[in-house]
Amino acid sequence: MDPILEMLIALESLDAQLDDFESEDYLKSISIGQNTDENAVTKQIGKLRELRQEIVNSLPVAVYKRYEKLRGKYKRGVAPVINGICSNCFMEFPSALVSRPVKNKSLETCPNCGIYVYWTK
Amino acid sequence: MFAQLLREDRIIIDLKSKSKEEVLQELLSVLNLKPEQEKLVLEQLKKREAIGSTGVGKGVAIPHTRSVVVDDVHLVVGVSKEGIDFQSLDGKPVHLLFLLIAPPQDLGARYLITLGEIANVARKVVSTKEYLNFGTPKELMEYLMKIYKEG
Repeated sequence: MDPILEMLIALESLDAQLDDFESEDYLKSISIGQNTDENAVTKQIGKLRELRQEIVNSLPVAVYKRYEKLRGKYKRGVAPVINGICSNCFMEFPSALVSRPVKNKSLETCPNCGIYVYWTK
Repeated sequence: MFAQLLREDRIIIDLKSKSKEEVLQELLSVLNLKPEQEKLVLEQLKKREAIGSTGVGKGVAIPHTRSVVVDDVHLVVGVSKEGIDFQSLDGKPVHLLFLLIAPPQDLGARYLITLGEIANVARKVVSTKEYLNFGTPKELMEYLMKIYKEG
């Protein structure tokens, strides 16, 4: 897999997890054995942000800028292509691209919405 | 959501793993992801554990993450009779695990709702530890469903 795509996938995951920390259901689920400890939650969010920054530092600046722009517009920077369809804008990819045996070996974007794509199959 | 995601073929009643990393891999293996996808999800699960253990105490762990490489919400339940050192909040070994994975964006917030439902089920089953006594995944599934339906 393309190493930059791999980093973008990790970044997308961390950003989604950061969003989760704002949910009451999420906070309840991570505190079964005890009352929610605000300090512990704050620490976890801090560590997530550190992990995120590590990835950001390793990404080419142009790629990160585009990722942020995409997140601003679509609330995500990477989208899976499922059965040849971009899961962000639902555009069908040309069959020549879908039938390629090797995918995810280079960084690709959706020709329609411009989001970074990960081919699931 | 919990009821829709709980499947007999995604329940392991006799986990063999002894460590946190091994058990995450063992639980993930049930999903039959491509090796590349499994590796990426495992890395995300390990990152999540690095910021704070999802061993929530009282013998329960709820490892969870979001990943672009999965196209749906997946739940895997595992039981370890011996217990696993999961660096839990209370320091006790983990016997019951709920692995939950979802794409970063899932319609209807199924991931967060399911996490809440898992937490409710877990709270109810920790006192008796009855979940350790079942001989088949089906029996454990029926038990968890019964607890879930009790609300």
